[in-house]
Amino acid sequence: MSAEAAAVTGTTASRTNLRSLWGVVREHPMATVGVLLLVLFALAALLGPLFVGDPLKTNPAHALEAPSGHRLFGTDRYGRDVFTRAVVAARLDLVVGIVIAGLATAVGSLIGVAAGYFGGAFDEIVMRVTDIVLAFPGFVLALILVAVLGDSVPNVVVAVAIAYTPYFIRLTRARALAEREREYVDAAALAGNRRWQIAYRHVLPNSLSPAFTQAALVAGWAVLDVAGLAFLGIGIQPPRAEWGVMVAEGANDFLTGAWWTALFPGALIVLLAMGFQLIGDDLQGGEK
Amino acid sequence: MSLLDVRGLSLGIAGREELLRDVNLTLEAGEVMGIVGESGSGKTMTALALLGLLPPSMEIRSGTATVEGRTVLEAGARRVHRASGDMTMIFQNPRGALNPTMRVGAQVGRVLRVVRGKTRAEAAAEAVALLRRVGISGAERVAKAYPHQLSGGMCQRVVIAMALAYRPRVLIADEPTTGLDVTVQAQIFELLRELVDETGCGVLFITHDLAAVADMCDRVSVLYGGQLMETATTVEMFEQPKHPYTQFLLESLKPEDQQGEVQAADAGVDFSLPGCRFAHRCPHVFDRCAAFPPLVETNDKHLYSCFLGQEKSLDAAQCSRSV
Repeated sequence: MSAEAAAVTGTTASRTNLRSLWGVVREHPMATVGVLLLVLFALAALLGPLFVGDPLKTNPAHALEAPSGHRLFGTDRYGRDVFTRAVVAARLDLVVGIVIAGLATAVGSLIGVAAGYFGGAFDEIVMRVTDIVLAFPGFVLALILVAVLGDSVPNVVVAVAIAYTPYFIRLTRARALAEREREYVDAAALAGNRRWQIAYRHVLPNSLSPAFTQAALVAGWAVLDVAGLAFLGIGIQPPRAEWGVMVAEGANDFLTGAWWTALFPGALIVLLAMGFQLIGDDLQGGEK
Repeated sequence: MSLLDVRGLSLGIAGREELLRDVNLTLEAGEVMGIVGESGSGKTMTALALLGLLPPSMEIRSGTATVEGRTVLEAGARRVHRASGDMTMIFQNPRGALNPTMRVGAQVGRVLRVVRGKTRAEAAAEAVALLRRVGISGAERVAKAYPHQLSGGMCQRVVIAMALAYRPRVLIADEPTTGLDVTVQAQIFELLRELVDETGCGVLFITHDLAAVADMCDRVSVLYGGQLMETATTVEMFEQPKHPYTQFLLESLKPEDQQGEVQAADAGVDFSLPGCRFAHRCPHVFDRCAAFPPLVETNDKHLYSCFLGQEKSLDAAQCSRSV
């Protein structure tokens, strides 16, 4: 193929890609909104801290200033810039949400596939344990776990991830139960694969799609949970820049009329959770 | 010694009646043996039993199977030892037999690595060669494709390539062309024939398509309701069927106005009765049919399971099992 011909096919290809992208956008408007929200948060998390100052810098002279062109989100009672703190917190909240969802998905699906594929006593034990875990409201369980483990970001992540893992175990197990009856599993057994190889090479990859859908939703819920824990004073602690912490601190100022210290971080929590939720809902609708 | 020798195989759901009763099969190297029967006649169950893939609810009541003298199946045993390279299967639904999330080249390569102990690089190269061997053009490209990107015929070729990678002594083909169009079907048959000639393996060819049997098979076994009705060379089966069920099966190929009187509607086999399983539909049914008919040999390779015409030929030495 000559260079020009290559160039021509190149442009046609990119045009086709653009058109199919537009098709996707039109077919999934809500998910597109979700993706755009997440992209904005990701950019803020990635680049934001480079442009704003120190989130912990206090300035008593400018305490509780209302939002203005100079201070977009105003300042809190210590004179810290709310916008700066909100931007810096984006990194923490986004990463925490994704890591919790990822951890719960990874651990849950590994256990779930083993339970579904191997069955027997192992399955029985896993199912009863998930029943026990699911008997607690997830948030309360996470709260208890953090109280036991101690306040720190990794402990919060682990605690919330544990609360969500049973969902992934159940989802993947159910799918693995169906997948293990498929012919390719028999074919893999005939080809001399060992049982664990069949479980993790063949059944697992084909049992993940419900878990991925769930992961998007759980990431959103996890953001809410982490912020909720911080609001209650458990887990992530002040003065760290975290939206839940900021809402908790701002809640007191709210009564004195300084609405901005709690409202902005609160709105960001909602928007981030909504971004995940919109994507998750759309994936769930497309799940066959 | 036959390549594959199945003797007195009986299967059933645990604690319930026997589904497959006293099935005997032999297969020689380089031979294609058709296994014919209606849906539910036990064709696939027989295959799954031989491969150790029976669903957990099924149990082997009696019987043995050997490949080149090595036992591959025993009564009571659930998972039978899989002597690597003895037996493999081409499944009914090629798309289902391929892992949807793995590239087809990698799937062929997996067999080479697991069964034949090839390294990753060797396996990748040989997988492409095998795909080319089964008539896939652009094998390098196809090796990188996922099953959903290939047509049904292509998928079946990939499955055959996997079977080839296995180098089995016995290949079980379970309705390998169901759902494929006639031209592709002919190509797959031709390919299977070539493989048999090339590798000298034996093939159990499971089908309900008598035309395919005439095309492909050296010998045929007819199953009905889990009972082996008749085994003969393909030519004898079509020209001199001995068993009323085989005759009925061949009648069905004739134009409708020339068909004899057979109860066409199947009332369903009652597996709990001890007698011949075709008795409830058989036009020649008589009092002896209430017992299970032994397998009678008329000549070297022609066996059938019926009391009809046995008064003169019945000989204890020829019976595989006394009633």
